Amino acid sequence: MIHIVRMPGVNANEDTATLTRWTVADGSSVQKGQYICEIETTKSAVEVEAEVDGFLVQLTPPGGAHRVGVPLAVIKQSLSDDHAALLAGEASASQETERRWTKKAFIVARRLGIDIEALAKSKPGTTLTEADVLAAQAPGAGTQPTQSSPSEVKAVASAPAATAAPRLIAAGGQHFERVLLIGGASGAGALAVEAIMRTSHQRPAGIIDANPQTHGQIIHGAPVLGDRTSIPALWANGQFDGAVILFTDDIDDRAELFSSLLGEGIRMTNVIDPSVQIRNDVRMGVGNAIMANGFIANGVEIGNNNFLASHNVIEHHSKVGDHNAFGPRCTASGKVMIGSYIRFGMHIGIEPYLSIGDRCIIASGTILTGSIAANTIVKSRSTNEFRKR
Amino acid sequence: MTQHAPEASTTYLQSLNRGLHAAMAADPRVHFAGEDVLDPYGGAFKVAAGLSKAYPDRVHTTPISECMITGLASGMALRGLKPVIEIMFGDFMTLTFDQILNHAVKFGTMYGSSLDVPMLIRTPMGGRRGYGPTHSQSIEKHFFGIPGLKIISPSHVHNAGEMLASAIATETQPILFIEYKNLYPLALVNGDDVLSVESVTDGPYPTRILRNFEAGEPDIVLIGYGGVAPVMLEVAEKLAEEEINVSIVLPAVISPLDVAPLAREVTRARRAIVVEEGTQGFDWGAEVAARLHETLFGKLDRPIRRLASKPAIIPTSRDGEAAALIGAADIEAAVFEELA
Repeated sequence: MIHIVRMPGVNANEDTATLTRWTVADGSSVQKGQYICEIETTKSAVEVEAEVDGFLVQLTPPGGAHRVGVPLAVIKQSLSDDHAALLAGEASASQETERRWTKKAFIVARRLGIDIEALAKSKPGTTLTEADVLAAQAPGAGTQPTQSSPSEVKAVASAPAATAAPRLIAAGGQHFERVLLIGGASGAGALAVEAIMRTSHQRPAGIIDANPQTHGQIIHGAPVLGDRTSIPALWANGQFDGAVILFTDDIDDRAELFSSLLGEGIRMTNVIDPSVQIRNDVRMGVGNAIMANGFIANGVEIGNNNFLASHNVIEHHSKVGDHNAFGPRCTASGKVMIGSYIRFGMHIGIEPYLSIGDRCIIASGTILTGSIAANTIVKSRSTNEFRKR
Repeated sequence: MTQHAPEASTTYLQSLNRGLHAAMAADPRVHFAGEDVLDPYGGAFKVAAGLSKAYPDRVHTTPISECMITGLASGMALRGLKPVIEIMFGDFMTLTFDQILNHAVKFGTMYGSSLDVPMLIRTPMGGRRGYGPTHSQSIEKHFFGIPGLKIISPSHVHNAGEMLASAIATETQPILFIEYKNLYPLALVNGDDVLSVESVTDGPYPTRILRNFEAGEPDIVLIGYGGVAPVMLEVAEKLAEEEINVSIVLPAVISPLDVAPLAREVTRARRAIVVEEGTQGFDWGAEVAARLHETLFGKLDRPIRRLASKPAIIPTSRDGEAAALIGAADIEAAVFEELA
């Protein structure tokens, strides 16, 4: 028979005590009633005596604090008796009553719409952590809730791995808005996925791209679902809640697609990186994408279907029309009137009170000091050589 | 002056006692007055132990009249001394109210802005000791926002004694110094295996932040002061095993309120709960929540949640008292609701 010596509970106010010293050498024989070790609480030092005769095997060196009930030593009839199985059995007995997931894992699973019971069954004997739940959420993971059949979506029929994101529960209990990103799987689309993942209310439903080679790929966790012909079916299947257009190379195409999607009853939404500052009294239409670190000052009006790359500044009371594309770091000073169908390069400055007509193209690096009539191309002279070194 | 980290081998009570001794040793103008404060009794909670033996001419036992004690202190302060008074139970602060509101805090302005009134009122608030309806309350809400009154309430995560000595030495206008009875026997905390501690403001009254995580961002921020600190610590230690990242923000100066260090941490979690032992409604949490909403409008995932004790008379029975006062289970439940 093997007897377990446990940390005794001697102070009602504490659930741990320190093993200060062993008074009997490891492996020596002890008699019932003999002092074998000394423990100390914050109130007093107490000697612990052997409850049976036998040989004492220490399980822990002196100096450590232990919870009440933890085995400190075993006393056995023969030193050759094996106590490992007894202690292991005790450990597994306590594990059976252990929780199957952390509370954080439970909360995250509920937010993501993952069945944590099923996940726990798939990983018996472990306590599920947040990381386990997030891994299960990754596209292609087996425990993800099944989606409506991808075969209904023509363009993705050959790419079964790419299904639209599940309907996820956001913080606060509401559903995330699932956003379909149209265009730029290799560029602006990836940017927008990042921006969306940083919001507390949106998640990417997937990406639409004209290049068939991207179909079925996963970009930052968002699947490329097909080309634009698949959008109506995705909408009809309820696989996204709103769409935004991200390609900027063809402004007219951008404008036509926007109008046709609206015409088919598809909801267009705005994607705004959370690092963008939007001040009071700003009015904005739909279909706009505003990337990281933008600043939209008070009183600004922005129409529909504009793409603003990172670091764009639209100062106070300026107006921006529809279907414009801004490269990174353009600045419109106060009360600027910007028309529609305009392509801005990067690093462009516009002085206050100026107006820019429809369908202009403004090249990178330009500082506009006067208003620009419609249909004008403005080219800066910044590539001119000054002199040879 | 920057505070030293609290020594974990010292209790809150010992720390305060040492602070008083240090303050009286440092400046002969410091006098101490209160009920039953002479040795060997040394005050009801022994915070004044040894003072009258060491400084018999500067420690004064008084009749049972809190109004008088407070008025006495104002007079001493006006005449160039630095009085420290002890109100035996915070519940009795009601009897000091007129002397504070209509007199002590107004002298400087009414009689010339250069007039100093360096007086400090010490008192213990809080329950959890079974003292019943009139000796267990936390009534500081009635003193919040009084112009000219600074209220300091260290937790056991602050160097309480050094803070007390510093306030006595440097403050020139009335101070209300609120201690908590449940903290007296506790060892000062400067972090452990689970919780790390950081001072996030400089000066003699630092805001302290405890975190139960090493990397990443907090899931939730708990804000409180004084006696709810160990209750919040219990919750944070427990939730560490549940992977829930908790930051506990403990300001020392609770009125007027510097919201900036609170807002910085809340920005990281976007969710926060303000916890206090006083009763619900028109409470400290209301001010903290309003100020955070003003500062962080549009940057929160959830409205700031307020937790306080029930709007009830505190029962004498320990079970009844535990049900009335805000407890760890209430905080834990609120955390899950906010994160759900």
